[in-house]
Amino acid sequence: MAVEQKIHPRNRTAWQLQRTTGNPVTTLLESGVGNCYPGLEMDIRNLERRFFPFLAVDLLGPRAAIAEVNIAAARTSNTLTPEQLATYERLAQDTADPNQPFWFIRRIDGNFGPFGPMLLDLDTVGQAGLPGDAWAAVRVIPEGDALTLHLSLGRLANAPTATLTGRRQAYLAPSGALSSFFVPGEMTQSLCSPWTHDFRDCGCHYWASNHPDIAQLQKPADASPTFEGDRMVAWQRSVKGSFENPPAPARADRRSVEMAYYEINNRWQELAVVLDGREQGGAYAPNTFTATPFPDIPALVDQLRYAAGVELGVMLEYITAAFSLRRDATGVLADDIRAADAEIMRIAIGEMRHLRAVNDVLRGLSDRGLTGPFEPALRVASELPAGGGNTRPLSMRPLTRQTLKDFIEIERPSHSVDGLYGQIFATLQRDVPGPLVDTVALIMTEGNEHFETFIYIQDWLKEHDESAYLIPTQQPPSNHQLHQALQTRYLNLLDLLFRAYLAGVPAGAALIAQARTTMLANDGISGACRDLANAGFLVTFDMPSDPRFNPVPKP
Amino acid sequence: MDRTTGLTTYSPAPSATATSQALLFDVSGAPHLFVVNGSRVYGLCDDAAASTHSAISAGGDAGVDALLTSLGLSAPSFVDDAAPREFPVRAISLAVAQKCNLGCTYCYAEGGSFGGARKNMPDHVAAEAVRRLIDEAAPGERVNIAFLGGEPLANRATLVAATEFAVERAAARNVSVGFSITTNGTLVTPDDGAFFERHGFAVTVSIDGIGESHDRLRPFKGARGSFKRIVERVRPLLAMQRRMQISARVTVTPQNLRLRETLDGLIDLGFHSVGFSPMLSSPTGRDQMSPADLQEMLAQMIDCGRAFEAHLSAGRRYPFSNMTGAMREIHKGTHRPYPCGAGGPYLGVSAEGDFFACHRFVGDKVGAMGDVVNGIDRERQRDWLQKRHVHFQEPCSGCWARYLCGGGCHHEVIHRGRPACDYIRGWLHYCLQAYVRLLDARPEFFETSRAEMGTMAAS
Repeated sequence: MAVEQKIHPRNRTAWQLQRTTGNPVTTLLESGVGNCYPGLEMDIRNLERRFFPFLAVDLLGPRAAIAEVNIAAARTSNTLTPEQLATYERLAQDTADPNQPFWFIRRIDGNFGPFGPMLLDLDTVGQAGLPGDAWAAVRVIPEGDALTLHLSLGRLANAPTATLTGRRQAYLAPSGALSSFFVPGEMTQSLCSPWTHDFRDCGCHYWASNHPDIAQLQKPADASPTFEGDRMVAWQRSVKGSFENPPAPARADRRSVEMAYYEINNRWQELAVVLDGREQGGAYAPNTFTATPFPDIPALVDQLRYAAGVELGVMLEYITAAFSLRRDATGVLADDIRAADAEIMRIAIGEMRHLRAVNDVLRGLSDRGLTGPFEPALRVASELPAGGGNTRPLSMRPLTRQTLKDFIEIERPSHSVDGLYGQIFATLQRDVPGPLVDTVALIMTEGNEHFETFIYIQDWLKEHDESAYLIPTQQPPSNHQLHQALQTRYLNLLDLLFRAYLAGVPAGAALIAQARTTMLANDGISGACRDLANAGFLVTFDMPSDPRFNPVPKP
Repeated sequence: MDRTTGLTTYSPAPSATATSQALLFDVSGAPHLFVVNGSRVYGLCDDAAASTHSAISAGGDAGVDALLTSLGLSAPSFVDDAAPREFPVRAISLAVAQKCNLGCTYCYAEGGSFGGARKNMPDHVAAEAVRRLIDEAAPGERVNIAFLGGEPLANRATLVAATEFAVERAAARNVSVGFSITTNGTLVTPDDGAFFERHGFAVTVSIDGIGESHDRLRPFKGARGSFKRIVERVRPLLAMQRRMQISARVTVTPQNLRLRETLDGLIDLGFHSVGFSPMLSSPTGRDQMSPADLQEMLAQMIDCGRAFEAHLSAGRRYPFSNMTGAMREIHKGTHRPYPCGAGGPYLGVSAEGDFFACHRFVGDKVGAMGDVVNGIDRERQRDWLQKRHVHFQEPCSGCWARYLCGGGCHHEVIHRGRPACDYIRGWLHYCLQAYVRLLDARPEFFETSRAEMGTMAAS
């Protein structure tokens, strides 16, 4: 698996230019959860752990368990009566004894702020008019107020009991610093940390991208170059499996096959490293990037204009396909259609973003004085890439199996010379390093994701007959009123986009917003498409006669 | 074989292995590539080496461009044609004494007075230059003040006054200031040592050999030898080195080409580091190096370099400053359009208070840059920076070593041209090879900081 190393950078400038495969940015310290969600630098719930003198209490749901007794401090304190000290001694002794159950706080007699003074039974928290849980109850007790704790050793009916009185402690020392009774690490001890199970339960839905819920199995060493892998499996599964003996596909209830908390704390090192969505074993061989740059900027511009046309063209094909799906199915079929429809439309919207991004790159070239004045690229490509350097004519068709195959082919990641963006990327990298390169890199990455999604769609629909998930459609007569309405709105949309791109940002922002509304509105593109489909017609787009939107050939 | 050393003379790399963009070189049989743009060093596999060799042999920029692209090594230009419009001055040298008690045969200052009357820099001129330097620096920045001459200790009073004024003014403005002095060593006293130590001076003693070979080149004005006196004077200071560092600088002429002997002798005396530079341009032409002398010097330098490699590989310190400097710069991938800061961030100040491109140009109209009263002549400075940019120097623009060398000392180039290009390329070629060897043998050497690099302890 080792990558063939032809060139070894030796000094610093050589290393600086070296592009290496390594840990993603999400593993950097600055990508830590506290930076994404300010406030998560510490777990503020830990401030309540020491709400009562000489005790550390774990508060979880309705439970309040004594985790630690600072008996040394209690013994030297001059505020305790001999009886109180005796109680602390007993708590300390039992808490230190692993054979004894926990001492629990069962009831608190005190002032619960907005809930008023009461004797609160912690088993009743969460009921109407009471604090939501033990932590919330403790949280609202004003600092310095007198409290009485009623404790029991374990939670059985006849458990030994004890009572302690004292005052609610302040978090802060008089100096304003965190009180010295907190120990180092106590504020962060319950935070999520990578490689543990915690992120599965994270209320913030924070989950590092390299610790995914699901991943593809490790690729066999002898896999063909076009190997598409297979379905996703639960990454944290308890039984690892192999490619020959694969684990069951991931399901929504994957927790049943995943390691339990205790297990994962012991076996976390068995979790595979995931790169490109796939579990990796041994040395990672990245896709090598081999595209040759274009000789000059004019050739680059021609390819960019064609790429914009391809984005626009496939977007039209995807919309046509999405509107060929049935809306009246039931059961599993309905679920599969709904998922396919949602994903195809999501991808179509992605292509619209790419169209915009390509226009941004063209504008960037113009702004840098590398081309003449910027002219928006909104001409549909008459020929679309069909793999292996071949092309096929633009064709708006229902989502048949063949159509789906074509969609997969057009989105297939191709880092080779014939990739639509490969040469663009290489040229920009050579001639215009900086943000334009990143823009193109993003388009390429998203194309990869589109490819995978179409494979899923194929997977979902393959169990059903074409006739079951497609509506019977016919080509609308070119002068049909509904078809004409769509063409008018489409042309209007192109015109809005043309003017918006030309004006740039921020000047064109209002026009962009207007274009978006036009796409989604009932009296816009979306509405016109639905009307056509409901009337049993295929949703297709004519080539506008406006010269700004004439088809663009492959360079 | 060479007449004095028995060393095989060094032949520069055959032209087939270098173009203006790249140098293909060999380290014990392993092919390596130096990419001029960014001064990058790469190891190559045999396939890559073969295609590199044919692209370079064919000549022509397009072929080498295509090769670099195919190897994934093309990159935007690290150095462009534009000269900086303006440079904040961060270092000055003060010619506090334009006079000297020695009569060195080759002196650029012609006995210390730069061809004019002997004179001292008045205190107020030094103070004004220092004030200007410090006041133009932003808080937190570092500036450097160098005392040169002539022999700067011939005007000790101004040196001390200027230093103390600088310390006080820099502290008040939160600017950090470093000091250096280049001296002939004959006038230095223990009190000077204490003063230099207190202010952390970098002290450079000009010394051209051991005993007689030094005395031939650097006699007192009455022709008496100065070596014994220098050793007497400098030895107590060498023992005092804590904050201050005392280095030896050897000017190499046809008279003192036995470098290894000099290097080891001066290291034994206790100098913190020892460096060599060839005499390329003396006002009278006396003791200038001829091409054959430079060829001999190169062989001697490589001999010293080999000793450096051997010591370092064994984990021992060997303070040969030409090597430590070259290793540091190659490791960083230094790429610069100028050989030094002269005329840019560094200016020389004459005893009368005129600015010059550097200490060597004092009194020379070619390098005049304004004066301490009216400030830097920015137009002349811009013109200097534009004209001196290595892209506009010939034959530099076609040389693979241009961003390591920067085009050579301005003073020497303007007054004698570029007689030493083969020497410089030969030395850098050797240094690139030594770099790769040391990187493999002692990688930790390159991870140590600059300060530690000179003092890597014996272990």
